[in-house]
Amino acid sequence: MFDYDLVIVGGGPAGLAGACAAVEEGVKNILVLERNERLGGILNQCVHNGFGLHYFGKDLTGPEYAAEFIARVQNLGITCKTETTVLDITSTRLLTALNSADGLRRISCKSIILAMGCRERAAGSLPIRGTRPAGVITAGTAQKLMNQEGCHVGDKVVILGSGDIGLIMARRLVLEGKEVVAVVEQLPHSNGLPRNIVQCLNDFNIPLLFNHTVTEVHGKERVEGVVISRVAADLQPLSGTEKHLACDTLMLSVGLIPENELSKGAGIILDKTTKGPLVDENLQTNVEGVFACGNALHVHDLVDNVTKEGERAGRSAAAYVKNNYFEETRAERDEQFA
Amino acid sequence: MPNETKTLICIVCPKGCSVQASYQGQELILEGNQCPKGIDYITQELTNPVRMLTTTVSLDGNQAQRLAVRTSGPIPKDYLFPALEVIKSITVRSPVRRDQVIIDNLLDSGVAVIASCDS
Repeated sequence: MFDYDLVIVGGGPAGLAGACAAVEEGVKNILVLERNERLGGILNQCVHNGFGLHYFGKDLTGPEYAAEFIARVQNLGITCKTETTVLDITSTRLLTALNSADGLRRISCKSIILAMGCRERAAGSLPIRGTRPAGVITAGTAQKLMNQEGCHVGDKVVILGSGDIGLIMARRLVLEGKEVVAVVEQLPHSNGLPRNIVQCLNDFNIPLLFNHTVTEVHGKERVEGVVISRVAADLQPLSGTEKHLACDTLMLSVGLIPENELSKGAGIILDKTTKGPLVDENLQTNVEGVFACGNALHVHDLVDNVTKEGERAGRSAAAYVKNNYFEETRAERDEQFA
Repeated sequence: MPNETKTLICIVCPKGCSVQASYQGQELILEGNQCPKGIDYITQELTNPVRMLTTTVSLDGNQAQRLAVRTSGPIPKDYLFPALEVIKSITVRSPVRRDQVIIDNLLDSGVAVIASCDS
């Protein structure tokens, strides 16, 4: 027998929306698994506003948006386990989860929604030469450390990448009394929202350098400066254009990648462009009964759209469960479990 | 009023409409906004720019325990750094409920600083 009709991996906005939508379609036995101490996902560290303008018609902060869905999930009586990590999912929807209360559990699911969000591209994947001092940090990590743990990440910061996270953190640093030397962007334009260029950079006279990248980091124990170079159309640094910027922190906002370890483990085919699962029009992956939504599927700009996508996944999973499509894989599952 | 056209980005919603603003006599003419909220924003921005302020405060005097806070409405842009000084100076005691008023009438603006989440 199956332990749950639907297990949702990730209790952020995508997973919570999926859970609510599935309940509204009549699915009863649902479990949401979240590895952090609380539900809400990335929203908990996004103390700024601008969330929910489309979905709620209100200008909410990240925690406020999360609270709306946490309340809904509680009101619908959906079981959520926090501090629970999913270690593995098989192609027959056997899920292995770990927490200190229940230990290691094997859970068999009629359907699964993958909603575990995304990761930041880190320094290791960038062609930056030089020493390896303290003070090189990704923008999302800095956001979590500053906003949730009160850490002091640096005083004089160069930000590489002008995507929204970098822009939001530029403002955050300035509001905390730090200096943002420049935001450095290799393209001739930013892919962040225009409103963020205005309210995060222009408002504080933070220079935005297009067509530039960071090529070296200097410093022994701690970052002392970076070298930036102009780049050609092919994004290769142009020699002779090097400039040194004194700073004690290099903050990286250079891309987000869907969390895909569990997807790969289940034999899910990933899309080469998004790096997230390949899905059909129902958001179902190539593995029967496994659906994906939110940043785990592809990186989103707006949480309002994440919510709508999560709801779609919830409805698809509900239809899958109600139509008993899972029956054809039961023989495979029993064989693996025996 | 000078008769030049200024281009501004509306920051009310993620669309970020590029709006051309010019004066014809006393009247402000706008082109490019895709909704009425843009009219209010641009008019305000050209006369008395305001911004929402969001930040965190320590709970119970513990730097590592953070509470996300926000202004209940926008405040004049010039008030941002003085507001942050005021916010830093107060001690917030847990437990705190979402929407609880942390500072009433911040810098006489009529706007409050409220908790963004339960502590």
